[in-house]
Amino acid sequence: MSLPTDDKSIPDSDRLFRRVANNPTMLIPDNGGWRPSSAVFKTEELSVNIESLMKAQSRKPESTLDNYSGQYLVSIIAKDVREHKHPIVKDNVPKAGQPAPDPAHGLILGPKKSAFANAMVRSCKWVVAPPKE
Amino acid sequence: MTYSNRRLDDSSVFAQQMQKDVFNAATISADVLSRQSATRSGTAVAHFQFGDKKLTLSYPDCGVGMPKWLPAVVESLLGRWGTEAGWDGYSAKPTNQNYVDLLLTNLFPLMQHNSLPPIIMPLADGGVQAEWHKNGVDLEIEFSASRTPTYYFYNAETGKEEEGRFDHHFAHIREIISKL
Repeated sequence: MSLPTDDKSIPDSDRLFRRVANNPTMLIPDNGGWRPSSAVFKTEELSVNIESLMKAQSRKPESTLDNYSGQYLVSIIAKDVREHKHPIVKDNVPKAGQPAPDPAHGLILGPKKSAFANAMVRSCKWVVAPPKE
Repeated sequence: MTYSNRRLDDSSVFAQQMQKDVFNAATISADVLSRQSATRSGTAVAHFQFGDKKLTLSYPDCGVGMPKWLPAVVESLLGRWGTEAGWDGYSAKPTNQNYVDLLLTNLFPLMQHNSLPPIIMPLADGGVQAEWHKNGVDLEIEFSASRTPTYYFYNAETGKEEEGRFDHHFAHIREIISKL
């Protein structure tokens, strides 16, 4: 089955924000600090918040963590995602019978290989980082 | 004794023996309380307790005692068990014990007594993966609910990257682990 078409209105330069759980923890020790496990980026419909939507809504990236206390936040770049041939789409329209999504919600689609997930680990940046060890 | 073919399919070794209290995301400290003697030829039973969480495992007994890596793996497993739906803050499924059994069953023939213990991570589809990270080398073995078990290897110094079916590269994975 083919995937939906990538939404070109999302700039290549956009940061895509992904929450990192800490209960159970998805963190790996890394030189006195932490990095996310590749498991954070392996979901087939990978939920993110889209930077350009958040800017249009006058929201700071950290607001992605509203109602998710105890979690952390990383960003990846849309261009890097597209290099692995994964479409990025907006998914912020409420659907009948389902909780309303975040107004900046988007999805990175397609089964995720470990090569993609680990590339995202290597390129991601902490927006809200866990305390160092 | 050859482990690869037997162990890959024989997840019932752990399914029959593994008993686990429901994990409720409490902080766990690793205190191995006891180890019982073999219940049948070639196997040993270990009981673990972490706070109020208990886990009983049977495993192949090679005559050198409990593998040094096993307590760390059990601690990692119990500390990262996704018990509730949505444990990742998105739509993750609870960790499925069948995939835990499969991973543990295959770890024993992969690892040597003093091998570096992996970190066990839950996957959003209910599966699990084991990860090793040392000196710029990353190794993963993944037992996902969505696809055939796979492995991934990356060496930051050389840029060498591999990904493939776990069952097709068992000996290779075992060699990588032996060098970590």
